[in-house]
Order: sequence, then structure tokens, then C-alpha cells
Amino acid sequence: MDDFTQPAAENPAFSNPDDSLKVTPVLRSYWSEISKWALFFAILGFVYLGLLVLMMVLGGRSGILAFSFIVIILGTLVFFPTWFTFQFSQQLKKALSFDSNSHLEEGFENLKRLYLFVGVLMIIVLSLYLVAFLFVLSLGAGMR
Amino acid sequence: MNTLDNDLQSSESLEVGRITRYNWLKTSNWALFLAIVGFVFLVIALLGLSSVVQSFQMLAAMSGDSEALAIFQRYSPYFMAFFLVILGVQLLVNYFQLRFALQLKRSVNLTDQEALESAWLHFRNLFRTVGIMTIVLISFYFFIVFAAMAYAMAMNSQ
Repeated sequence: MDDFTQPAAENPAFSNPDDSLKVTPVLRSYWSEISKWALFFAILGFVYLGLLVLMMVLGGRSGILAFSFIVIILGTLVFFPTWFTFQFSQQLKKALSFDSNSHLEEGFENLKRLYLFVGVLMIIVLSLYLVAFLFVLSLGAGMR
Repeated sequence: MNTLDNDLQSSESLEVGRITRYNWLKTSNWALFLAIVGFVFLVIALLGLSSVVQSFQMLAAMSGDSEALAIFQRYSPYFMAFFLVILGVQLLVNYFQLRFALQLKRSVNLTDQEALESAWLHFRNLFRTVGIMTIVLISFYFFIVFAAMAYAMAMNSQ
């Protein structure tokens, strides 16, 4: 197992020029399909964001501020993964079309950002569950 | 789109550089974490589903003739089947996520070409499964909306 605490440049797992991983036609076909599905998810995300904006406008008109606030938070949570998915899709598509390594790197950078965002969000949600669970437990203990 | 498809046959000038390998390793770590959390949630959902069914059966036995419980008992096999299908799809998605994470990590650490292709095959399957399920769900929503509209129009015309 590699030491992941090392900087990328010094880690042997990231620098192996002689025996490197190849981008084969099979991989290209997988990435091509992945980029199409990613674009589909991104479009759905943008449509959802549009609906959220519509809800916020309608909620703002009716003067329900708490509702608008919730929609803004939800919109922010939806925007970033949607944007990363869109960027991943577009960069991967460009990388395959123009054989561009910079686009390939940028595409997978965005996939990493997407996973990072969802992972951190999951940790926050799990922490909130834990806090709620401990709160209920303490309430139960206080009632005895 | 044609350009993209034609380029699948073109020369292999794309390279997996150091930065890409680093990004893949980070991605695989988070994917592994999400797969494990997904499996834990799946087990909790299965336990929850079985306990809900058991408690309703117990309530039905205790309360005797309740209309609401009778309706639930009549439709409970359909609910069970629906939730089991959802959980089955979730299991498949988690499996693809886990395989993607493990194979990608292996490919980067051991420079294993076979593992690399397997990893992206599983990632493609993951996207394909989620995509098809999304299309099915959206179609289902549209069906419900149109059915409700047709019902409302039929009621108005009477």
C-alpha cells in the first residue's frame, strides 16, 4: 500500500513512466458513454435548479421568507454537483474529440471534486443523524 | 457526436498522467466511502422494511376490523415488491460503486491495465443503471400527471 500522505510528485504510484496505464479504445468507448450519461444528469440537475428558482420567486412573492431560504440552501447543494458533473462531461468529451490531455486531466479533476462534494455532504448528514440520535437518547435518559 | 464516435478508433495519444492518477486515487477513496455508506443504509432499510411489516401485522391482529389496516394488508405485497425492487437497484448501484472504487485503486497502485478497464466498465454500468432508473421514474411521474389530468377531465365532463 502506498503512503498517501506523500505529495503526488514524490509518490511512486503517480510516477511510473515506463509501465504506464494506457488509454485503449475500450476505455475511450466507456468514457464516451459515461460523458453522455453525465451530460444527461447535468441537464436534469439544471432543470431541477430552474424549478427551484421558480419556486423561490413564487415563494418570495407570497412573502414566505423561510421557504425562500430553504430553497436557496437546496439550490446551492444541487448547483455544485450539477456543475461538476457538467464540467466532467464536457471536458471528457473534448479530451476524446481532440485527444487533449489537459482536458482529460480537467475532466477527472471535476469527477474528483464531485465525489469530494458528495462525500463531505454525506459526512455532514451522518454527523447530523448522530447528533439527533444522541439528542433523542439524552431526552429519553432525562425522562426516566 | 459523430466526431466523438469516430475518435474512438483514432490513435492512442491520450495519456494517463501523474495528476490524473492522483485524482483517480482520491476519487476511488471517496467512492469506497460512499459505497460502504450505501451498503450500511441498505441493511438499515431492509431491517426497517421488515419491522414495519411486522408491526402492521401485529396491529392488524390486535385491532380486528379496521378498514385502513385491511387496505394496507390487501396492498402490502405490492408495496413490498416495489420497495424490494428499489432496494435491489440500490444494491446494484452500490456494487458498481464498490467495484469501481476497488478496481480504480488497484489500477493506480499496481499499474494494472485490466483493473483500469474493469473500473471504468463498472463506472459506466453505474451511470447506465442510475440513468435508466431516472428515465423510468420521470416517465412514471409523467404517467401519474397525465392519469390525474385525464381523471379530472373525465370527472368535469360528467
